[in-house]
Amino acid sequence: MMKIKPGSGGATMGGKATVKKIFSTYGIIVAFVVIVVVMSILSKHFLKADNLMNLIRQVSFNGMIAIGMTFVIMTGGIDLSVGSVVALAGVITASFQTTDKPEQLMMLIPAILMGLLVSAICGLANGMLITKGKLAPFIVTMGMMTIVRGIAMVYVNGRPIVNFTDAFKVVGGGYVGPIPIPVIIFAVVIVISILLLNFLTFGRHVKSVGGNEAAAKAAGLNVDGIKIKVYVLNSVLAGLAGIALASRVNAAQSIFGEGYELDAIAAAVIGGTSMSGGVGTIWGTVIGTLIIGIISNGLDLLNVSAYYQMIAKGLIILVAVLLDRKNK
Amino acid sequence: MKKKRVLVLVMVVVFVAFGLAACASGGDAAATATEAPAADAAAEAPAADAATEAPAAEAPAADAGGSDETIVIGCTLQDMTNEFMVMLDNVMQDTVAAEFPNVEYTCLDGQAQPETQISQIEGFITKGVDAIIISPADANALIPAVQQAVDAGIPVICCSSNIEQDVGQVWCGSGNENGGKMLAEYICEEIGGKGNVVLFRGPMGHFAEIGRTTGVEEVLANYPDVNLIYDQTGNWSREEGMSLMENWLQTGEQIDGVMAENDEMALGALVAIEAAGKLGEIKVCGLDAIKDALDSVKAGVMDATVFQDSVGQAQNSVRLAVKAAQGEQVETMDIPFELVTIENVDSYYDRIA
Amino acid sequence: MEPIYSLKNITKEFPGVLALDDVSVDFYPGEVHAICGENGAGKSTLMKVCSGMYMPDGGALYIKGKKAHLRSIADGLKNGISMVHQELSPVPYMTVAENIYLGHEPTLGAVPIVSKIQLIHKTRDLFEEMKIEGINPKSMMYELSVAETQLVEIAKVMMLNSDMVIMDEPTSAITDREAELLFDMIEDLKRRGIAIAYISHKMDEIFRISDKITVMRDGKHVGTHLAADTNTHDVITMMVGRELTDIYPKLETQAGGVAMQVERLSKEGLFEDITFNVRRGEILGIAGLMGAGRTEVVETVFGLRKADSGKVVIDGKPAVIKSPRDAIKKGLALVTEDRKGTGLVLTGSIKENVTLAALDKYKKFGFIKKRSEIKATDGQIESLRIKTPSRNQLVANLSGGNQQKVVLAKWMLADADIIIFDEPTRGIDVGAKAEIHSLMSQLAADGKAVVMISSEMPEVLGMSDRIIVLCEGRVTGEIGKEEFSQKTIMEYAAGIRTANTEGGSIVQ
Repeated sequence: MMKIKPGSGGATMGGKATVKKIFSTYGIIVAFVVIVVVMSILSKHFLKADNLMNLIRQVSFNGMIAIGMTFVIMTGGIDLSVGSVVALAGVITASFQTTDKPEQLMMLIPAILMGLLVSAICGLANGMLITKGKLAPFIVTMGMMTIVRGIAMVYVNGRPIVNFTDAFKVVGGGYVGPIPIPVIIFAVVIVISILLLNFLTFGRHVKSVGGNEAAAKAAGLNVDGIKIKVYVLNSVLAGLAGIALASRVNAAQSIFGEGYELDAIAAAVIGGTSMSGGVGTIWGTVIGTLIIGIISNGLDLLNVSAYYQMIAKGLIILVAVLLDRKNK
Repeated sequence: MKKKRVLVLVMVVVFVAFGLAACASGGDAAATATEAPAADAAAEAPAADAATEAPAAEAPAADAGGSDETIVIGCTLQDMTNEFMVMLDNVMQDTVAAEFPNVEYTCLDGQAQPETQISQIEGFITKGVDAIIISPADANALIPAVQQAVDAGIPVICCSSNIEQDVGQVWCGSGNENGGKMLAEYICEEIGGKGNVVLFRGPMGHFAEIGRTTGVEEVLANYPDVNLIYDQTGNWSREEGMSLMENWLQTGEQIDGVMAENDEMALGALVAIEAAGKLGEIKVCGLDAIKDALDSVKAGVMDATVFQDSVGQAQNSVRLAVKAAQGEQVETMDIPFELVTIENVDSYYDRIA
Repeated sequence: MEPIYSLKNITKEFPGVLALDDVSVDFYPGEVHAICGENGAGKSTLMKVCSGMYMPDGGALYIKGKKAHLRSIADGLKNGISMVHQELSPVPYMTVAENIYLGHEPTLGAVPIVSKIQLIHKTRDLFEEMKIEGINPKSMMYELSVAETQLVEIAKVMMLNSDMVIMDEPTSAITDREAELLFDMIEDLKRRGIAIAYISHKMDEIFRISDKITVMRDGKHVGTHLAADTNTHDVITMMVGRELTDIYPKLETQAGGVAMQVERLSKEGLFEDITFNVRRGEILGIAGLMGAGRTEVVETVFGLRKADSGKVVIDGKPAVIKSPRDAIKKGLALVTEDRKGTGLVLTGSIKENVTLAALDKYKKFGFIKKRSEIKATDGQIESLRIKTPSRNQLVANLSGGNQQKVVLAKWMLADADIIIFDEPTRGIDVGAKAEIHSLMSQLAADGKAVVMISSEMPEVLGMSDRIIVLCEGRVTGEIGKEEFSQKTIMEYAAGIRTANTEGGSIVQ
């Protein structure tokens, strides 16, 4: 598909042009379809309904974080602290939902809100330091990554929290009909994010701040406020993922979520989010998340040796992005 | 500008305060568990001082008892922020206090830096200690330093982990290979020497992963009817263990046994097995004997785990060091792993850190 | 005579736009060949094909009669083609000398170590030859003004000794004195038998230095004439494709009450004691040389900078303006000088840019009312005649003039009462210029207060009802319409003449 002659496109040029236009706009979908087709040819288990549901549940945690990350990257920032927030939110909520500590049991919803509140505070700290402190997002969130991880470790003294209440087990492990609850949470997050980004003024502001901060400011936008909101949103989504994940694996650990920030960034970038800001879509990030998930799932199904898996994952990600960019 | 600085400062303070508040709010209740060990650790610090001073105080008594002059043991451990290392130190102190009143024991923090440990060993050589105990932060970087000590006539005991090359040191630990063997042996026997098994490895290239995998492979070679159908890394992580197992179960292939090179991955695999309704059909064995795993074994969910006797490692390291310092010939000591199943699980709660 | 460089039937296409359509041009040694056309006519694209930056989709390039395939600027340089770009691209944290010899550093013989001393010497010699004064070869690039940076960019190309030099709007950011220097250099190049392709919007410049003029429109070659055989009027007519009546269509208006009064505004190191007012229904021109502090003053009024002292009074009430947000709430709008820097979100579409400052008008419970937003955008596209295939086109893909119109559209929707234009027509073509002028005139006629900063003398004189002149951060004079003359403005701007003002109060 890269052989299409440059310059044969253009809206005025008929059939060929339409093909090229589809490629240039939806290159990542093409990559996605290719990966799906290849995987389903190689493994007869891949397309089974069970496996697909299993796959979507596996990616839903990273997906939530990647969507938050998309907003952050679109403002021209980055957030390395999400992995630690995953752990902190997980242990906070879990600590109020374990039968090991009957004296501090809470209702499920307040316990979840506690976790999310703490996540929001982490995001607020990120946002304030970046906007009011005028520090680089990379540095701020790298510092926060360590601080938040440390707080999570102190909170549980390095030990896992286990023996959850039945109510809490449902959050990550339950089903509504045939659909796992994390998948439903993920779907809700997608819908809300699409509303935020495409239908609310908030999304327009995010795009503008990332596209040209100076112009956004000159047009009267509250640039600092927008950035702070974005970091809070991102942290809350990471927290949500952390809570669901803790419930899913039946344990909350302070070491959870290490390296998640990189998967989230990768998903956003594969999905076409520009690291320099201003450009990105929710559906792109969802596809990016799926691509990363499919690669892991597919390679596991195919029992590719662990060493080769690493190489294969890296290659597939690079090729997917290349395929996308080549056609732009 | 100034105002903004102040604002930032306030932010940081607020955040730190929040951090503390989080501990406190987990507080009253969570802290019962959270703070208790912390308090222990705090209490340990003065105790350590007391321990180092103890021999001096007891010296006359020792002399009166007619035993030999004071033996000085220098110890350097990988990283004293690591709970496992702190535990080793505590056990060594206890052993000295209980068994060797004439030993002066000093323990230094290697801060996870091989170069720190190297200079600490050089310090021990200069001071002329009678024996050195080391838990090396790097299996290769410390070879020359250990060599130097051995050349200076000071016996070196490697506790728990060893260095890569034999330069005359004495190792007192449990070989990862043996752990892997015990794990594989258990699963192969449990499934009747026949069937399909899967292996969760540690992070590829990690020394424990290499050792444990070697052990597993050696055992599997003896069981021609056991097929290792999947073999991947779960990076010591519960989440990865879970998703790997989910994916494997998707293929519909018969899985009879799960060998996990640590307990976290075994526990993750169990979440997936339970969700697939196959609990009891698949034998699962982990390694390390962490508390969660003991709970799981006790509840009849996990079939077994493998216990590494770190207390034995520390105790025997001190005993070997004293013997060597007194001029006796000592040899490498392998502290055996122990299999933990529902029959004997209760006795292990007291033996884990 | 054999042409040095021939372009034959060049075609180049971008998504949705045919930028060059079968264009053929020949460049001869010792000849200055001007390329004219409105923004978006394809001049810059043609020059980028010439220099090797773009590869043509169709047609061929012949250098000294031989067919050439240029795949990059480096290829172009190898073949003796160099270019002074419209957009400056200095490496800010390197010295002037290092920038000029970037990629051609003098070394210590065969040893690949850069000789710093030689670098400085060579740069000094080059500057001497080019008669550039006042730029220290050891200065860091970021310390230089825009004009000085432009001169360095020109020097960079002179150093290369190419057979052909392409200049894309080389005078857009430099003063007249520096432009004179440039023209001398061009004369010198001509004498050395070098071919020069010259793009500019300034007709006087074109007729002064060029031998041949090629006019382009909508990606097509309209015609090539000897400069001696044609005139400004004909060239403009060819460019716009129709007779252009008046590019300064100022309507007579009756000035009303004072809309905004700026009182003794000061900012250390930038400007001091600035006092002026603007009335409803008038266009107040602000003239001055580059660096006089005009842009800084209006940015301060608009809340982009903080004043040390002084105040702004709007409609008789003191206004506290700490950010552009406050300013917009008070009915101010600022069309900034730097289109790409502060005017546009280049990653956004026309629609997203047009409604950016007024988005609150098109929302309900935080949701954007898509239909009314589209209606407002389409209204602006139509009334400002923005040339685009769609309202969803990225502004990055528009020509300069159309981009400027998008910036204007944004402020039109903001419903401001006091509109400040900072160099509203810099670097855009005659047709768009006339349209923007008529828009400004209409705004004043509608009773809005308009402030216009401009460095183009005919524009200031043609559009203003009243002019104030700044020199080195101070108001040196105010000129009523009856006194308008280029000479008066220049005298105030150069600081030769100062109005009889005391304590900043201006005679009204």
